Amino acid sequence: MSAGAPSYSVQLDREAFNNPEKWYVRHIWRQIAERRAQKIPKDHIKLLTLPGVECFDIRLLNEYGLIKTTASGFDPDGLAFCEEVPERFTRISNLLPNARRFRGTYESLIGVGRASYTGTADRWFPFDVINLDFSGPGFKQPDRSTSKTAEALLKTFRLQKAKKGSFSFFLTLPADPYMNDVSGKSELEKCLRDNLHQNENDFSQLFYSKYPQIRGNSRPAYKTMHYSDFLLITVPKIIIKYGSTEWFRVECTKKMTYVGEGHTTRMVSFCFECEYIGLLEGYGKSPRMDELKKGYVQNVMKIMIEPNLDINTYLDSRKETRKELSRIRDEARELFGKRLNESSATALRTLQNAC
Amino acid sequence: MKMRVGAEILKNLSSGIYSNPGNTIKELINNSYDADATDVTVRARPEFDTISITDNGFGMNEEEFKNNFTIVSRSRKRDAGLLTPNLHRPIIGKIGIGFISALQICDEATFVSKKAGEILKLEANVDFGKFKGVMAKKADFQDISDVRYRVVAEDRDAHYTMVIMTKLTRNFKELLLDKDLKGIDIINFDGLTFEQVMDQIDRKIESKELEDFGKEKGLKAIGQYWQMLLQIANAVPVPYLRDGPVKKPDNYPVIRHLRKEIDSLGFDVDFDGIHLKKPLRFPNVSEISKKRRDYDVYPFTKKCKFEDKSVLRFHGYLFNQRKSILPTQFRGIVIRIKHVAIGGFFPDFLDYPYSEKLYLPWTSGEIEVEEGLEDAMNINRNTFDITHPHYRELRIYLHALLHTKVFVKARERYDRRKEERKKLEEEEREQRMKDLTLRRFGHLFRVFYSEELDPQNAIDIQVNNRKLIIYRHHAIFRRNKQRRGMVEEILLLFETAFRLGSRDARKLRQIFYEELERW
Repeated sequence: MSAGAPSYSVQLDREAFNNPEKWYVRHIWRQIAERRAQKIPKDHIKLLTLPGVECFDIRLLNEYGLIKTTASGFDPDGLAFCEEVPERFTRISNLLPNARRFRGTYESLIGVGRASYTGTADRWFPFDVINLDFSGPGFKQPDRSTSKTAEALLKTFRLQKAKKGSFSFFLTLPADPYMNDVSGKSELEKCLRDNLHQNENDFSQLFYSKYPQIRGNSRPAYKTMHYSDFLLITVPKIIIKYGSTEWFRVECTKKMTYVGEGHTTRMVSFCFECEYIGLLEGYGKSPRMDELKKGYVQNVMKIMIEPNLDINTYLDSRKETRKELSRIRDEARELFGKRLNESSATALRTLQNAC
Repeated sequence: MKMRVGAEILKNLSSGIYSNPGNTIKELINNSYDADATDVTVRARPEFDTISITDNGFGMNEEEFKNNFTIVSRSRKRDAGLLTPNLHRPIIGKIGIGFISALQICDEATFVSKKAGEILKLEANVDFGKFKGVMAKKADFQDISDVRYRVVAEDRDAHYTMVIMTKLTRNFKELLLDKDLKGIDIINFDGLTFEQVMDQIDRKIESKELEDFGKEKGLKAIGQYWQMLLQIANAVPVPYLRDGPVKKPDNYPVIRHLRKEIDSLGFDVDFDGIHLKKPLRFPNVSEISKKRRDYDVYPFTKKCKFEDKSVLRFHGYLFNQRKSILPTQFRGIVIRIKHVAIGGFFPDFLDYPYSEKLYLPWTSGEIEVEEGLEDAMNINRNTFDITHPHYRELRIYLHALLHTKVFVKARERYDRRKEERKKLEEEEREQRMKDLTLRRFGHLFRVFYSEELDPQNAIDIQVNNRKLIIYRHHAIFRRNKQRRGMVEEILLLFETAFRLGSRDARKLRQIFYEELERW
């Protein structure tokens, strides 16, 4: 094995993604995916995801009939995933017969660092729902000289734009404690500075007045700020800007943070609705610039106004919901290793109205 | 002086040992069987970038991995006996080259294995690509690949093995994507179960769609991927289809036994979500299966003893139907040792020597060898050493059965069908003649065949008696024996036109042409 390859334990991996907080997030994803399904002419969504070893997100969407299945598995045009770790990749493949699969990171799937997209990405895109549930912290890490995450996010919009595909976008990042050092934050801060370019002077003033602590390395608050808070502030703005650049009206509908039961790492999760408003009917018509501009300002203002949802606090105040989610977690254990198209998981559906 | 072996031989053995890439996957599935697995999961579609094989067998630990992978071709599977430790299955593997056959289809493989009751699992990476490069440059080598491994903590109760083949060879990938079949319609079986695919193949055969391809291209119309699947399904120890291998299988004790044996192994192979079954279901078209006399099943069991005290025991069946078996790949005899097919179907029935080759495409069958023959198997596990006494005995028995039973009945059926067809044709011809007389003379004539020798006319139309007499032994019929029916009808047309033409050549011609056109 290569020296740098991480060791992998199925036992640990299974439990890592099976906790009440994560199930709450999954049900929010499910609700958004349902809304997306209503917007598209097809009966099922086309999903790209980075699933955990038990594919709980897919399992849940499948239970709600959002993903197209066949007698022998899944429709390859309805479901795609990528995974780098060989054993995890194989275990996921075993659960999802005929789904499109890519053995490698998301960044390598879409060709980060390359001038063009990969052939695979070109064939696979666009998607109706993209769920980037990263297990790595994203952005700058101590052992990496450059970050590929930002480029990956931008390229995602470019690929969707090339196929004129509106989509719902879920992004989850772990705010590992070691990311509290300055390097990750400074990269994000730079990202944000680039993001807030000259045309947004008024806007950037407003933004920095609301978040004074993230401006400039000299500020003590910047250094002591938790990486998760930093992500919650910067990522939505960056995503909205990336989307706008590529003719998407992007709205951040959820900003969530949680620490999964039995874990120490704080997770940060976002949901975005990305509507393509570029050229729709050939070259004759100009893109809807006004609509894009208006939407951009509104949506960025919204992320500054709307509070973040701390799922732990929320569930502490709703004992019944927590209990229900804990039961889902327990019943999900019964599904470990079982193929999705051959086993029913109706128990997962019980949390219908709690989100 | 010593005789030595060149290093190239290892390359030849490992990279070209199996005649097609499906055999490599078959061998890896057989490895899972030998590891007492009950479930094997294979994933290849839709991208064919990676092929993974996962089983729930007893797995391998670090020490076993070292022993098995340090010296290729030294199989230790049989060190502890001829049966597997848990399920007591007869062990298939013998030579010890199953795993390295993977290099025929890929440049890199990851191997993950965990034994029950141990706290560590093994992860190994085998870089065949490096090996291939070395081989291209120099012939002498000791290392066959770069193997790196480590042990990692895992659930104590877990037991499994995964073989993940990446960097698949371009040729293999293109083959499975049917790049070689440009211009041929590939039937789309996406999303169907194995049973549904078999039903669809049978329907295509029934509607003659597959037969058209069958004549020239065999099973190509179903594409390389499904060809590979059917080949693997036929070769590995998976159960029969519900109504296979022959109609009403429980009517034949030997076939019932075959089914029971294979079911008792409890071995399931999920290949891209398709649970493989033995794809044999004779007769597979309703045209044949509706009439019991259109096919026959010949079950058999046999035991032979040899001078060296070795024993050959086998059982099976032969199936023969009144027309060619389709798909073409299922014609011939398949021989299984320990439930695993050696090669595919042998369409020439182990070089059948008699001049009855007409009946071979109508025949199929399976032989399950319970004891013996294994030593006659060549290293590629696809063919036999034809000089081996077990093979020779089996061949003699098979040929005798075909010659003295199967083809005797086939010939009878053929002759009977020929007679029936002839009779039917004559009835139809007679009806056509009657129709003609009714149309032209306004009355229905009776048709008589006269035995009179060499009369003046071949056909006599007696209008007054409303009789139509055909003189069978007229020289014109004798000279045209093969086309007698046709000549009869043409002559009748001519005679009718002649009678109605009233010596008017133009009218005769007109009537003759009209009737000829109608005919």
